[in-house]
Amino acid sequence: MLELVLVSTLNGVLYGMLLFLMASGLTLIFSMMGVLNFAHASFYMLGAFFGFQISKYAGFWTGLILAPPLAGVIGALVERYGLRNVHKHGHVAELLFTFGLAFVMEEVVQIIWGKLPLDYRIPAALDFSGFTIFSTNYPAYKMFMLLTAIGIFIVLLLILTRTRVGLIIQASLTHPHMVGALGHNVPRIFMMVFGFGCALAAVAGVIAGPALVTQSNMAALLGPILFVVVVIGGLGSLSGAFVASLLIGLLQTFAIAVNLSIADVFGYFGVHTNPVPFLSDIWRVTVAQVGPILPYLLLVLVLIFRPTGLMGTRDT
Amino acid sequence: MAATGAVTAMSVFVVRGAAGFLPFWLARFHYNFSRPSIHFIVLRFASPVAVTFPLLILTRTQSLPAEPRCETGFTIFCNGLLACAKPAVRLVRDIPARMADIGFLTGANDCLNVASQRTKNTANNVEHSQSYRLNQAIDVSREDAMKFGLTAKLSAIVALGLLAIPFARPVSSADDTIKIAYIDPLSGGGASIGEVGLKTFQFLADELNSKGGSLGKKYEIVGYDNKLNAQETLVQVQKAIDSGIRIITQGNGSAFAAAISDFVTKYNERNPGKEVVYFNYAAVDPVLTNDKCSFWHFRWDANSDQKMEALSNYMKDRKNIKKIYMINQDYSFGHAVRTAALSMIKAKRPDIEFVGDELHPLLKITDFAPYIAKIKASGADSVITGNWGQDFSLLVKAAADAGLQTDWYTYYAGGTGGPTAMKQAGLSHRVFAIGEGFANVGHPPADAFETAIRAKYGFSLFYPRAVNQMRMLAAAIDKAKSTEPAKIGAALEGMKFEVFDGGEGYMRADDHQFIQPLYIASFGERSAKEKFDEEGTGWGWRTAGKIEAANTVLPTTCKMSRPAS
Repeated sequence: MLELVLVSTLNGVLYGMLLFLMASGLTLIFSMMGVLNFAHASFYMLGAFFGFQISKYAGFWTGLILAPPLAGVIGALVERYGLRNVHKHGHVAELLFTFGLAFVMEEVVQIIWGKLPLDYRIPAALDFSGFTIFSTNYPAYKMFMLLTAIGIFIVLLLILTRTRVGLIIQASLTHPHMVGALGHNVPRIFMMVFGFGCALAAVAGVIAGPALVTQSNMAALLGPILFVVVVIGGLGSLSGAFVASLLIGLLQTFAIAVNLSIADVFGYFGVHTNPVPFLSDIWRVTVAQVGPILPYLLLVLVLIFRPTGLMGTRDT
Repeated sequence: MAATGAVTAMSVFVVRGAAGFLPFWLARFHYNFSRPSIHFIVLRFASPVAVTFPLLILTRTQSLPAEPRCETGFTIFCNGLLACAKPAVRLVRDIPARMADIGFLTGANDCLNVASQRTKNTANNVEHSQSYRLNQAIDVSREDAMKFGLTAKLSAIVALGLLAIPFARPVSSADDTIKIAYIDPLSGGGASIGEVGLKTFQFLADELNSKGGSLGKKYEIVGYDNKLNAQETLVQVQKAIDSGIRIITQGNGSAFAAAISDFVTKYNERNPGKEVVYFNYAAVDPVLTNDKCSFWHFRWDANSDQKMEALSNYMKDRKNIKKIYMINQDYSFGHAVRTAALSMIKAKRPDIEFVGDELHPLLKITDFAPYIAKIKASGADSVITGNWGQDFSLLVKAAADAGLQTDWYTYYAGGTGGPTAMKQAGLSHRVFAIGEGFANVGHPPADAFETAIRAKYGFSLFYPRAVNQMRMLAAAIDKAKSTEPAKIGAALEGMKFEVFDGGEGYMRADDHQFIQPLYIASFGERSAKEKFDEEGTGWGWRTAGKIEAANTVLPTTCKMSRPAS
C-alpha cells in the first residue's frame, strides 16, 4: 500500500509539473493580454515535433535546447502579426483566432510529419532505471523530467520576483497603461511574454515527447485539461497554476488507484441492494473509471463556489 | 439597412455536394442577389439529407447585370443549370410544397429533368417559359431552350459548371473494379494500427489482381478515416456508399462495428437492389454474431468468447497462476473480455483469485504508469488484457519501466509497438496471445506470404484473418459469378475454406461467424526452427497450443433474417 502511495505520488507530481510548464505560460498570457490562448497546447505539440526533428540530426540535447526557442519565435510572430491585429476586433475575435490556429497547426503538423506516432526515443544516457522504491523501478528519464520542470519553475519564480524584467511584467499584468506611460513598450512586452509562454509549452513538449507519445493529437489530449488547471488555479495567478497543476496531477493519478464505487460506500453501512435499479451503471462504477472526468467536475465546482479560482483575484 | 421595393424574384438553388458550391458561389454575383428577392438554398450532401435555408435579400442595387435570370418567375439553378418557370409561385407559403419535389434530386441529370418538367407543366398557364442548359454533355430535349448572350463572366461559370457536374454526379457502381471501403482510424491514437491494416488489405488486393482479379475485374481498397468515432464512422460509410462502393470492411472497435452493421442492415432494407455488405475483420464483441446478428455482416476473426474459451482452457493447466489482474479498454469489446474471463476462469479454476478488474478510456492514455503501480500493489502474478494498438504497447512499456514481472494473457500482443515493448520489458515467453495464426506456425505457404509482405512493407502479417477474408471474397464472387453483395453473401454462407495457416475453416451460416483453428503463442527468444522475429527485436512467436476449429464452436443466439431472393 505504501508502495502504491509513493509511486502514485511521484507519478502525480510528475504529471502535475508537466501541466504546470504549460499552464504557467497560458496563465501569464491570459493575465497580461486577456487572451485565452486555445492554441497553447499546440505549441506543446510543436515543441515535441521540433525536438524530434532536431534530435534526428543532432541528438536529444540539442533538440531540448533549440526546439523551445524555435517554438517561442513562432509564438512571438503569431502574436505580432496575428493576434495584435485581431485584438482590435475584441475578445471574441481573439478567441476565434486562437481556436482556428490550433486546428491549422494540427493540420500542418499532420501534413509535414504524418498522422502516425513518431519514434521519438529517450536519450541513451537516461535510458535506465533511476532508483527502486520497494520493488518498483522509477525510470531515470522521469526523474529528469521532474527535475527539469522544478528547475524551470524556480527560475521562472526568480525572474518574476527578483529581476527588473519580472517587475515590469508584473506591472504590465495589472497596470499596462501606467507601464506604457513610464516609457516601456507594452506591445513588445506582450509579444515577448507570448513567445516565452509558447517556449515554455515547447519545453514541456520536448521532454514529454519521448516519454508519452509524439503524435499530432497530443495537443488535443492535453489542451482541455490545461484550461481546467488555469481556471482552478485562478486566472492570472502563477502560484495558483502551480497548486492547481499539482492538484490535478495527483487527483488523476490517485483516482486511478482507488477502486471505490457508490455500491462499496453503501456496502460499509450494510446497504447491499441498489435503491435505484435503473442507475445500476452509476451504482457500480469505480472512482478509477471516472478518474478522467474528475478534473472537469472540480472545474464546475470551482466555478460555482469560487469563481476567482483558488488563488485568483479576479472573476473569470 | 433599409428594406426597399417589393420582392421581385424567387429562386431555388440546389447545391449538391461541395463541388456544387463552386458554380453557386460564382453565380450568386450574377444572379438576383443584388436585388430584393427570396432564395431557397437546398444543400444536399449525403442523400437523403437535404438542408434547406431561405435567403432573403432586401437591399437594392442599381447595377443589375444582364445575365440569365427569371424576371419574376420561379427559377431553378442547379449545379450550373438554370431553368425558369412562371408563374408557379405567387406566395411564399407555396414554396415549401414546391420544395418537396425538388428536395430529392439525385444529380445534375435529375436536376435538369425537374427543370424541364416544371417548364412543361407550367407551360399551359404561362405566357412565358424558358429554360437554359449550360452543359451540352447532358442530352435533354427541350423545345423552347434558348440561348442567352454570354458575358465573359458567365463563360467562367459555364466552364466551372462543367467541371463541377462530373463531381456532383454519383459515381456509377464501379464497372471494371471491385472497390472495398476500408474504414478504420487513420489518424490519432489508432492510426498506427489502422495504417498497417490498410496496407495489408492493399497487399492482398494486389495479390488477387496479379492473378487476374475476379470476373475480369480488379480489386481496389479505398481508405476512409473514421477517427475512432461512431458518428464519423457512419459519415464515412455514407461517403463510401455515395461513391458507389458496396463492400465495406472495418475491424478496430466493436462499438463502431455494431454501428456499421446496424446502418448497413437498415440501408439495405430501404434501398433494395443497392445493397451493401459489411466484412468485419477484427471487431470481436460476441453480440455481433448473436443478438445483433445481421445477414449483411460477416466476421472473420474469432469472437471474444471463442478466444477466451481457448485461452482459459490453456490457463487452467498452468498451476503458477494464483492471482489475476484484468485491465481492459472501457468499451463494448473490453467489457466482453472481462465478462468472459470472469465467468470462464471461475468455472474452470475456482481457486484463482481476481485481484483487479480495471477499465480505462480507449486509446486516450499516454502514460500507464499509474495503472502499473496499481497492478504491482495488487500482487498479481498474471494479467489478462484485451488491449490493442497503442493501449497494449504503452501498457507493456510502462510495465517495463516499472520492472513489473507478471505473465500476460492477451488478445493482440502482436500489434504495432507490442513486440518492441515486450522485448524492452524482458518478458521472454511470458506474454501469451490467442489468434488465428502467428508468424512461426510453420505452414509453408504462410511462410512464403509472410516473407513477401515483410519484404514489401517492413511489417509482419498481423491479420491472417484478412487474408482469409479477401481470398474468400474472391472465391465467393467466382462462385456467385456476380459482384452483387446479396449474391456474394449467399455464396459465403457455409463456405468451406483452407485457411491461411493450414486447416479448414467455414463461414457458419447461422450467424456469419467464421469458424477456424486457433493458436496460442508466446513471445520471446527464438529456437532454430522459428525463423521470423518481430519488429527487429530478435524475438519471435512460439506456438504454445493449437485449438482445432471444431473445438472453438460456441452456440449462437442469432436468428438470421435473410433477404427474400
